[in-house]
Amino acid sequence: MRRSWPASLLVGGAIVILVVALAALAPLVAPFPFDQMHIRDRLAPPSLTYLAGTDEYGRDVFSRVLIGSQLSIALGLVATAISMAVGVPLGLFAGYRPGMLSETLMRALDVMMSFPPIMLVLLILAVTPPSLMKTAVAVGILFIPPIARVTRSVALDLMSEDFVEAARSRGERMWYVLARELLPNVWPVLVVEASLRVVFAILLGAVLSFLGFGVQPPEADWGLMISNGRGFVDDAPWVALAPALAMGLSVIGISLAGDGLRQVLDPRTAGRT
Amino acid sequence: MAGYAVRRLAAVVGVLFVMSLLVFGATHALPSNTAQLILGQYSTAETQAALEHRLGLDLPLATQYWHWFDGILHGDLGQSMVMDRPVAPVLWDALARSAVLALSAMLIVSTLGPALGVIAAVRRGTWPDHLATIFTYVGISVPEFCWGLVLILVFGSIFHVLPTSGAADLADGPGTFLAHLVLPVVTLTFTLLAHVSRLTRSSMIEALDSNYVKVARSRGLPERVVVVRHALRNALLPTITVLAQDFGFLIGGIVTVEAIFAYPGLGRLLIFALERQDLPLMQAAILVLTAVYCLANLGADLLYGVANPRIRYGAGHA
Repeated sequence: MRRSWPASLLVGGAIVILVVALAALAPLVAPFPFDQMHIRDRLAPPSLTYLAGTDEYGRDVFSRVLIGSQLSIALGLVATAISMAVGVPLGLFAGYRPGMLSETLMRALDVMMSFPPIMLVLLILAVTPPSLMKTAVAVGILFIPPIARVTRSVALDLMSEDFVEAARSRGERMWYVLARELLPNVWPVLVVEASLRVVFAILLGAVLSFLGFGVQPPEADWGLMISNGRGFVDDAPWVALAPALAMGLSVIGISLAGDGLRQVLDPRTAGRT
Repeated sequence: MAGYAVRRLAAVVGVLFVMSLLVFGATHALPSNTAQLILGQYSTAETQAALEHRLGLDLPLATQYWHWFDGILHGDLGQSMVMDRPVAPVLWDALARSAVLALSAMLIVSTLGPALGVIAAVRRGTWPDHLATIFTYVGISVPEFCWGLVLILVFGSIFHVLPTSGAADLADGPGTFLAHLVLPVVTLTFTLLAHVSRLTRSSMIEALDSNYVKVARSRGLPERVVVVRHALRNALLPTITVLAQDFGFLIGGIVTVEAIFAYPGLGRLLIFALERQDLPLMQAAILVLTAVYCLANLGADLLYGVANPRIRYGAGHA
């Protein structure tokens, strides 16, 4: 049965497509290179030349925001990919074969989740020189436990289903049941969870570079630009506001799209929020 | 219940111990040369060695860990390397200031959040509900530092009505003290308020559609009584859990909010320690923040057990 698409998916999807397209085409769309300085036009207000004004080095804020979207999206995707690549197999296994090993595994993840999240990431990043990839890996590791938990709880439910029983009584091997029977039925929940994780990763990444432990200057990262623009907020608010708006818009778009996806893929839990 | 509380407390102690090992291990893997960091790049190898000896940095790692751990048990958090004075008083001052922020925000969230959620649920589908939905969406999505920035712009730069950085002591007068709190607390509150009100709304809607509420209505009870006594009491259970989770979220938020408003609390102290690679300060700040986080979670779990007598502790739950 075909239902009409929820409005949140349409609006959110449109925003996501717009943001991703702008990010992909950023080098073509951006009027200036992100690090080109115009010394005579420092902290210039928005104009036709500089659509969102310039920063304290006379760099075009609009171009920097466009290029910055690539960093944020890359971070969100890489971090989520890492947490899914590790968390999903762990969760599937723990759901498939409850026992000492699974129990130990889940308790270890519980311990990981009982630390304040930002502490773990700060600890990893403070110990070694910061970079975008390292931030992505740190955030990805941080998100393994919640992904594994969600996967496990769905897999546990599925284990009592007839088709899993049938596969097991046919004598199928574990990897077959995990990959061919469980995974296809877990993925609707995972897609929704993944979209949430991308948002969280982008936000956490922005917080980290805002605090100075993520992407380093002169890269055009949103969090970094906002932290930098904080100093000029009285005289040149556009330096910080432009990346803040871009960030808010992208995140709202992905959240909306995720909510819409949930209504389509996982109607049981949809409509509650 | 008592047994459960003891077991959970033991788990908290375990987590703190693991964290102390992690923090100690990680900070000692730092690539930097602490002695050189303190003495400057023109110091000689001899003076660096002398300082390392004085700070105990030339001892074996296990011995250093034991000294540190033993000190913590006696309330001695060590000596800040950059500030060259004991960590403990600096840390407790900062913790007190952060606690003022966190508790004020928590107070607002735990009263206003459920109230907004209930109003939205009872008026489902009307404009107050739509307004609340939009607010929650924006509130959850936009990170603290964006909110903080907007607030600074509006109340600091445009209207010049509120201070945008620093903190004041009570001695400076209650007005000044409160004025410095307004923007950081409001910033902290936004995201959590959205979160709590959204959750309360959904569990309230579920409760209002339930059979026991229908029965209560059909008995002819006034709507007020049905909403407050029957629906709200059940709907608030998940809210308690989420408030506890949010306390953890708050600790992350405090680091950001203190950075943006230059508020001299524990979060800012931690960032200072990380930037200057001040090992003892870093270790103490992380440990104290973790302890607060774990104890808050424990408190919330126990509170949830008291509020919901249906829960039976002991059996493993997913």
